[in-house]
Amino acid sequence: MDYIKNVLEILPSEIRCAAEQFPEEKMEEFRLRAGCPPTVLIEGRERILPVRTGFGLVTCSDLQEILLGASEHSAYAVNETMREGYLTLPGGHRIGICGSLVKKDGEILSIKEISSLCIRISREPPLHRCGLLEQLSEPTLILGPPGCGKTTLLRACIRLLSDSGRRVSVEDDRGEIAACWRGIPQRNVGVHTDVLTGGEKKQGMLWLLRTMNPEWIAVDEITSPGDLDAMETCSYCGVKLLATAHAGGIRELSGRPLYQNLLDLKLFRQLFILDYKKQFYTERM
Amino acid sequence: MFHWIGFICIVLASSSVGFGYARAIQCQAAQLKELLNALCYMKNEILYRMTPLPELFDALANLQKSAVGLFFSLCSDSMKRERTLPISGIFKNAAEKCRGLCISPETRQALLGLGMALGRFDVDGQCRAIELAEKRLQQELNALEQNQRARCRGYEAIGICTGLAVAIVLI
Repeated sequence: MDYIKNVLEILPSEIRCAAEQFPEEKMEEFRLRAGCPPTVLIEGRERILPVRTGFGLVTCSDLQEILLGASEHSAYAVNETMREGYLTLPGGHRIGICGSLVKKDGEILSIKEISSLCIRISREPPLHRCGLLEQLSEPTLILGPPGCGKTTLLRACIRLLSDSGRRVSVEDDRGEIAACWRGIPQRNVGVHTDVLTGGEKKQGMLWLLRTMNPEWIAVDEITSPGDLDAMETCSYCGVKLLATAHAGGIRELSGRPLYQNLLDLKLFRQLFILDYKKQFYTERM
Repeated sequence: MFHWIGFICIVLASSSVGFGYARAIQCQAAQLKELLNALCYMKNEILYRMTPLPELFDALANLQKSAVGLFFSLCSDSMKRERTLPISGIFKNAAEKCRGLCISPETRQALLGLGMALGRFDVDGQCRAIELAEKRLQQELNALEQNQRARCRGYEAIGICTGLAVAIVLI
């Protein structure tokens, strides 16, 4: 239970004991919902955890306490990510949060009445793909539908480039690529990688360009025209780009105005297109 | 001869109790000042760097090598060991375990009050809670310093006089 120790130690002792009855390597997620029994996701199916009699159902206060423990009793330090609905644990595990949003002047201030938590156990799936590094000689855009492994492939590319001696800078605004905890990447992103977290993509990419002298800049999920502006600047400065975007293929990509601009700018030379089976093929642009 | 040795022992013992009380008051004032410094540092760290509490307690433990430093070191250890324990409980346990920490019940209460709020709210909320604790500790320090010298002399004099009185009566 060493690998998921960081997850287990924030759970109430009854849930922890029940979870220890399952094989660690098969557990994918813990799902805790107020008013319901705690469950664990194993091989894609949710199973109710056999908690000791007397524990009953998960309560709002249990969820609140779990979050407090997960934030090391420092809600102020994780407020930014909490407002985006998640919290990163040491080991790269991640807690997704649901509840009632507290707003002020239209902006999300915090979240109250926590109704459910989804604790996703972080694992690095093996990537069996020979010659991937050789393919990474030019700016690359990774495409694919949600849940097909774009971020995983992006991380693998970063790791390969970095371990081969390239200076890679990662703009990890949502903390999904490197899952930094106290400044240390919890996912393997290679030894020559610099990670910037906490900012906006545009701001972050320009920051990395100015400060880290990167050969490559990697970002996850291009979503705004500002991202394109920053990528264009980086590209003109001789930095190669590695990025992901939500699209099933080049036709779907060109159908969206934002991505049409991206294609027009010719920032990328090749596409890695992923399918739901998590396989990808390469296409020249 | 033995009478005189007994006389001296009684006076010395009683005086040391009196001097001990006086030292405790001086120690209390010194530790209150250190706690106030710690709170100021805590506020700045939270405001400027949003340092998480375990890291912050580690920094405070390294900053102060006295009993106050030990108190924060115990808090940090406890947080790393038991992640679900609330801060007020961590403060309470650390104050009980920390040898050499001489704080009044009021100071203890102020720390527990801070523990109730610490880590639960945003930066502004943290700052307000720390400022409240600072205010309480400052008031206590002011009251303590106001009559510190007189109290210390009083305890010392009472110790010596009691020793003399007991020795005269017994011998």
